[in-house]
Amino acid sequence: MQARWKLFWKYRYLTLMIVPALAVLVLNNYLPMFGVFIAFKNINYIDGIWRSPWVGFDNFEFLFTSGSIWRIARNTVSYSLVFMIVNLLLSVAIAVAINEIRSRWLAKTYQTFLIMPYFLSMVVVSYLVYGFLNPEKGFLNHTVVEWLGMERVFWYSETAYWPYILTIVSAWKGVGIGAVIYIAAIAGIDPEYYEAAVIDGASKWRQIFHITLPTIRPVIIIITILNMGHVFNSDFGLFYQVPMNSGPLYPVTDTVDTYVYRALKELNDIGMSSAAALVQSVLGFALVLLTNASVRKIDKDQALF
Amino acid sequence: MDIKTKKRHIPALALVFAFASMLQACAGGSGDDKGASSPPASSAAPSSASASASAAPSESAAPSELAPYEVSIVYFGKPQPDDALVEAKLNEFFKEKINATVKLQPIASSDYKNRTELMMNTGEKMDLVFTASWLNFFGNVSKGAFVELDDLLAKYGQGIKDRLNPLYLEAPRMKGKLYAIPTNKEITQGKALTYRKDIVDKYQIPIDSINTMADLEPWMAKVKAGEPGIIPYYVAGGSGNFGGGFMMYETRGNYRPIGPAPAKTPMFLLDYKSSDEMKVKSVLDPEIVDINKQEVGLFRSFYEKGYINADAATSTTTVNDLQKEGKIWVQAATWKPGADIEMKLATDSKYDYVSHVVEEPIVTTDLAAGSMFAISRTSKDPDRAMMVLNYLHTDPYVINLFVNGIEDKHYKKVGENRIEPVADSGYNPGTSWVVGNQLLNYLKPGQPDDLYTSWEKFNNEAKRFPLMGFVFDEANVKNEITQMTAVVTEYQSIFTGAVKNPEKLLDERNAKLKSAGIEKVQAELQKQIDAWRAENKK
Repeated sequence: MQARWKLFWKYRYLTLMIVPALAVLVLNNYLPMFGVFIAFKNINYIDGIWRSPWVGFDNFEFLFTSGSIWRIARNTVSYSLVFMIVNLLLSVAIAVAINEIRSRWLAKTYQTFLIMPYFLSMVVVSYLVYGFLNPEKGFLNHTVVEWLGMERVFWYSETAYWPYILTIVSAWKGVGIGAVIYIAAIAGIDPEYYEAAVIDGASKWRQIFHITLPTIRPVIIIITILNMGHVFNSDFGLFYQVPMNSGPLYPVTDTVDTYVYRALKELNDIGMSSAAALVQSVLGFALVLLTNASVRKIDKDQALF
Repeated sequence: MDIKTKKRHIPALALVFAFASMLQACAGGSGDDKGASSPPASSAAPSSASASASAAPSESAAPSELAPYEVSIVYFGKPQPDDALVEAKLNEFFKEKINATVKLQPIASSDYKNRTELMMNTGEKMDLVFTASWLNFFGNVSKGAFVELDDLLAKYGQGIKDRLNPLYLEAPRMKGKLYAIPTNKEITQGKALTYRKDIVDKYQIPIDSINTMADLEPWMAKVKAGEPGIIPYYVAGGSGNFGGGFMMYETRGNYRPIGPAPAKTPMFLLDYKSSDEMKVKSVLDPEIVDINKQEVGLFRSFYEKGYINADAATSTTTVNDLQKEGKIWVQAATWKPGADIEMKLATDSKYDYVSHVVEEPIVTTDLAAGSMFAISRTSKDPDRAMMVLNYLHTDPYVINLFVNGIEDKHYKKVGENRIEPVADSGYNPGTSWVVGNQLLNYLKPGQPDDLYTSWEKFNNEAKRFPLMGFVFDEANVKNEITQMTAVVTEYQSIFTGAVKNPEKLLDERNAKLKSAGIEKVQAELQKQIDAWRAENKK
C-alpha cells in the first residue's frame, strides 16, 4: 500500500492529466446510464420519470414478439460484420499504400480526398446515391444499364442490389477516416527495420507482409474489439436515408435502429425506445467480452483487458 | 496467476459500483431540486406598474387584481422575422386587458410534433399549446400532458362557447372531460378531385361524372397524349403524409376509417350508413381485402401505362410545388367551401381550379379535433391562458394582429373586412387555420365576401359520423399497434403502383398484420365502441 501511494505521488501530475478526459467520460457515458430504469417504466407526463409506474419487462415485449426480430437482428449483425471486415481491409490497404507514396504532398492530398466523404451528412449522401439510382433520370440507368442493353432498373424496389450498394456507400464514407489510425501506427514503425530488410534484399511485398502488418497487428485487434461493441447498432442514416426509406427494400435494409424508429415514431413512448436501446447495449457489451476472451485465448498479450 | 488477477478486479468492480450508486444519488437529488425550484423562477416579482388605469370592461376579473403573467403560446407556424414586433403589439393589448404578456413560440411544421413532445417529456413550462388529432393529441392526453378545461371554459371562455358550433366541443374529450378548444373554422372536410380549370375546358372533361379513380383513366390517357409536361397522376409515396389508397374505401362504399391508423393507413373501417350494430371491419375482412386488391391493381396498371410518376415509391416533392410548375392537372384534395380559391392562392395564383366532391363531408372526432389549443399541465396560470384564448376567439383586432400582422406594415386595409397583404413584409406565418377564430380573419384578395357565412352554413349542415365523440384508448394494445405500424410502413408503397405484384404483397402484408395482432386490436376497438354506445345511448 505504502509503495503504491509513493508511486501515485510520484506520478501525481500525470494522473491529474487524465482528469478532464475522465470527467467527459463520466458526464457523457456513465451519467446517462442511470436512464436505464426508464426501460422498465410506463412514463407519463404527470408523474415524470421518477414516479411513473414500474412495468417490469412489458416494454421489451414489442421487440421480441414481433415476427421481424429475426430479420432485423440478422440484417443488423451481418451488415455490421461485413462493414467491419470490408472497411478494415480497405483501410489497412489504403494506409499501407499511402505510406509507400514518396511525395509527402501527394500522400496528404490523397488522404484528404479519402477522408472528405466522412464529413458529409447521410442525408446529403442519400441524394448523391439518388442521383445515381433514380429510375427515370438516374445516372446508372442512363449509362451502364443502357450500354448493357438491359431494361431500366427500379433500384428502390429491387432488394438484390442493396447489400452491395450499402456496403459500397459505407466503405466510401468510412474507409478514409479508418485509414488515419493505421497511417499513424505505420508512421510509428522504426525505419531501421525497413533498412535492415532492404539490405537483406527483401522486396516491397515482403516488407509489407513481414514488417508493416505484423507491427500494426495490435492496433488492428484493439480497433476490432472496440468495433464488436457496435455490432448490434447500425448507422441509422445509412439504413434509413440512403434507401429512401423504401418499403420493398426492408427485407434487406431493416435494422434494429430503423425498425424501432418506424415502429415507435408515432407512439412517442420513451419507455419502449429505451428498452430497445438497452437490449442493443447489453448484447454489444456481451460481444465485447466474448471477443476479448477469444483474443485472450489465442494470444494473451493482445487482449484489451 | 489468472486467479490472482481476477481477485484484484473485485475491489475495482466494487469501486465502480459504489461510484455508480453515488452518482445515482446525485442525479436523484438534482432531479428533485429542479422540481422544487422551478416554480419561483417563473412567478415574476410583482411589478409596481401592474395595471394601466383604464379599467376596460372584460369578461374576466379587472386587470388590477391580476398579478402580471407571461402566457407562452406554442403553435404550428414558421418563425417570422417580425414576430417580435407583433408580440410587442399583442403585449400592449393584453397588458391593458388582463395584465398579461404573451410569448410567441412558433415551431415549423416538420419539427412540431417532435419538439412539442420533447417539451412535454421534459416538463418545460408552456401555457397554450397547439395540438390536433393528427399530432397525437389523444395519446398526449392519456399521458397527462394537458389540463381539463370544462371549468375554465365556463369561467373565462364564455365568448368561445357562444361562437363555436357546439359539435366542436364534443370531439376533444377523453372520458367525458374536455382537454382542448378547437379553432373555429370549417368543422369538417369532404374529399374531392380537384382539376386545373384550363385543362378541363380544353378537353371538355365531364368532371361531375368522375367519381372514382377508375373513371379518371380515359382522361389520364388523353392528357398524357396531349400535354407532355404534365404528370397524369402524381403520387408522393416517400412523403410522411402518404397513407396509401386515398379515398378508396369512400369511393367504393360507405366505409370510413375508425380507430388506430398506423402511419396514416386506415386499419379499421365502419360502414356509417349501415343500420347494424356498428360492427368494425378490419383490413383482413374479405370485402375490404377485395376493395384493396382492386385499388392496388388499378394503380399498378396506371403505373405500367406511365400515368403515375416513375419515382412514385420514393418521391417527397409536394403536390403544391409541382402545381406551381404547372405539372399537375388533377389531384385528390380535401374540400370545403372556397377550397378552389384557397388552392389558387397557395400556388402563386397561376391557375384556376375546379373540384368535384366525391366524398360527403361528415364530422368525425378526428376532423373536428383537427386544429386546437390545449393548456399544458406545466402552465402556472391556466386561468390567464384561457382568458388569452378567449380574446383570440372573440376580438377581431387581436386575432388579425396574430395572423395578419400590423396594419399598414404587413397589410393594407382595402375594405371593412378585407385586406391586401404587403409582399415580403416580414410577417406571413400562415396561421389562419391554427389560431383562435378564423371566421374573424380579414378576407384576402380572391376570397368571396360570403366565405365565412358559407362556412357557418357548411358547419351547421354537416352530417355527424355516428361515432362522433368516440376516442380509442390504445393503452391495452400498445405492443400490437407498434408492430402493426412497422408492418404498415413496410408495405405502404404497394399503394403507389411502383411495386410489382401488389396483390401478392397485400396478402403478405395482411398475414403479417394478423401475426402482429390486428385481431386483438379489433376486439379491443369493438369493445370500446360498444361501451361508448351504451354509455351515450347511441
